[in-house]
Amino acid sequence: MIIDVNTLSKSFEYYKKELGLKNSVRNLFHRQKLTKKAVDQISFQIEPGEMVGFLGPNGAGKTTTLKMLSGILHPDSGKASVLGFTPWERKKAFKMQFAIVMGQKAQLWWDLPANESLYLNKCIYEIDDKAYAATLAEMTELLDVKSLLNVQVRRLSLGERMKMELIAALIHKPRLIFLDEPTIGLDLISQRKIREFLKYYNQEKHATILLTSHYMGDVEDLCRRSIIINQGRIVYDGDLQGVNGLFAERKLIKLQLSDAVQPADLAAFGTVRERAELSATLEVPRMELKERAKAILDHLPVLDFNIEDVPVEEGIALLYQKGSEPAEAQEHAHALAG
Amino acid sequence: MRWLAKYRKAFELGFETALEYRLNFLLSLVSAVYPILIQTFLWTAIFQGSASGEVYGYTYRQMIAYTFLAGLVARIVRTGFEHEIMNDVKSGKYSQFLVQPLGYFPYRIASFYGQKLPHFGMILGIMAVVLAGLSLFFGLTLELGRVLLFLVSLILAVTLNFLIFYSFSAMSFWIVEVGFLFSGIRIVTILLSGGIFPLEVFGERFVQLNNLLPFKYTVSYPINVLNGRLGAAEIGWGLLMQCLWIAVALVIANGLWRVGGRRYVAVGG
Repeated sequence: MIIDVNTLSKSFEYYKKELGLKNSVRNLFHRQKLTKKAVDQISFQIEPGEMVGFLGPNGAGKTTTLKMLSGILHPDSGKASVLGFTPWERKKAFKMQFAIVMGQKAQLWWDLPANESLYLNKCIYEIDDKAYAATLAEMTELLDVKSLLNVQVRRLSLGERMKMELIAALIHKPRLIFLDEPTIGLDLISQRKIREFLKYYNQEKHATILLTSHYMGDVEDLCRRSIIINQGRIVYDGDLQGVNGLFAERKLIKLQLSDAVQPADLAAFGTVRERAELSATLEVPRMELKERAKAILDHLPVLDFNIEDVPVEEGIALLYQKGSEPAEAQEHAHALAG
Repeated sequence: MRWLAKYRKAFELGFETALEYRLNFLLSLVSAVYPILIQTFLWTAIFQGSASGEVYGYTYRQMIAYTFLAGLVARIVRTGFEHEIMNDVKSGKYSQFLVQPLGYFPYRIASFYGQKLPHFGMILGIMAVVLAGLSLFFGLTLELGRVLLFLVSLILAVTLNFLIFYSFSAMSFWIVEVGFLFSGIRIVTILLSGGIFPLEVFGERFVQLNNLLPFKYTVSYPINVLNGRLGAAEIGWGLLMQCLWIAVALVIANGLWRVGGRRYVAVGG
């Protein structure tokens, strides 16, 4: 086991101030102290070589968890073992074996070319010249940024910079990588390139990767397993496709029509999700898929016909909305579908 | 010695930064001339009104020499990294140092020495000119031994001031915006260190009190090594006190950073 988290918790204190000058003055003398539970008693395990997606809405506690697992923050309570170390003891041997990349926080020196920052990391991680040259050549090749090494970082595009950040983080060949929103704000091509690279890195180097992202595509594409966290608690841990299994099993039927159809006529066959003049999407219970499909084909002017799964996002959105209890979320899903 | 390479690199980066911003530094020296000139006029007026020809135990020449040297030495020992530290803590950039096998303290001090080296060179050059002028026009006598001891005490003074301000920087963990506080602390410490007036100006009781603090070992003491006000025994005692205060400041800085570091909340991203 490479990561073993046991009832880890962390809360933050903050102050509240009402709008206006009067309240500003009042705040000088008395401040209302509030506590937010960022992470609330979470537990999970990750095996070596796994690539796990860490999903959740903003403020769910994903980043706080990553910060505790990388030793940046001390938890309030609970235990964690990462690579056999307690992360917040910040042992050197631990630091030499992992990396954390934060999409919104740069570690490269802004005014210097990327290779200066990379060289600094070579020194920091005590890498010998040969290994450094080999790793650098391999990664710049894979990410296609070889020609940009001598360019000042601030002159690089966001995608190019992110690739450099990745190289900087992986130059010491870590066994464990935490990625916090690695593709945030990137265009589709850069996103894909980075995904391909991560997949390759995971498979070739058998590195364990824990990844947070807002882009479902990242997680769907890369991670067999996902941990979904909301309001500091784990609400789901397993195969991403299985999220919908938590809810009522439903299917979508997408139709292309040759003639316009009245909404009421469509609604007779299932819940209408989308409707344009000559197309529609209907949601039907999985159990009745066959009968409903047959009825649709018999009674509507259908040109083209497609059966699809409900997108994973929707199941997750329901988990987010409902928060803690999957059972409640399930009821909610029924209510929505019904 | 591979672990040393990272701090050598930090030293180099500090050095390069200082060279990159050399004009900025030279301009700050020009601005240091202004208060020196004002004080020179002030002391000239005071001495003209004094019957004995001595004020606070200083002759006019000694006072002018002190004023010039204080301006330059205060400039050499001056820090600036406390604002960088504040920003690191405030913006969450400090996190990076926690996850990498890199000590924040050795990194900062290596980078600080790297930045100081070019400044040291430039100021010592200017000081040589000033000293030549002082000895020509004000009859200041210089002995080689004293000059060498002065250089040693100056290096210790730079180190001590680094540690003092490194300790103050730990306040960033308690107070989010400490920029003004740092400015206030700087003014008080310059005054206490003798960076503006000789400490005797503030009176006997103040001097006794100030003897219990480390600040005078950053400016006043190195100058007094150079200008001949201190005897051999006093110089030796002073060097010892500098080392002692460095040790004390190390312990304090370490403690404050250990306690403060636990409060670090790693905001953002």
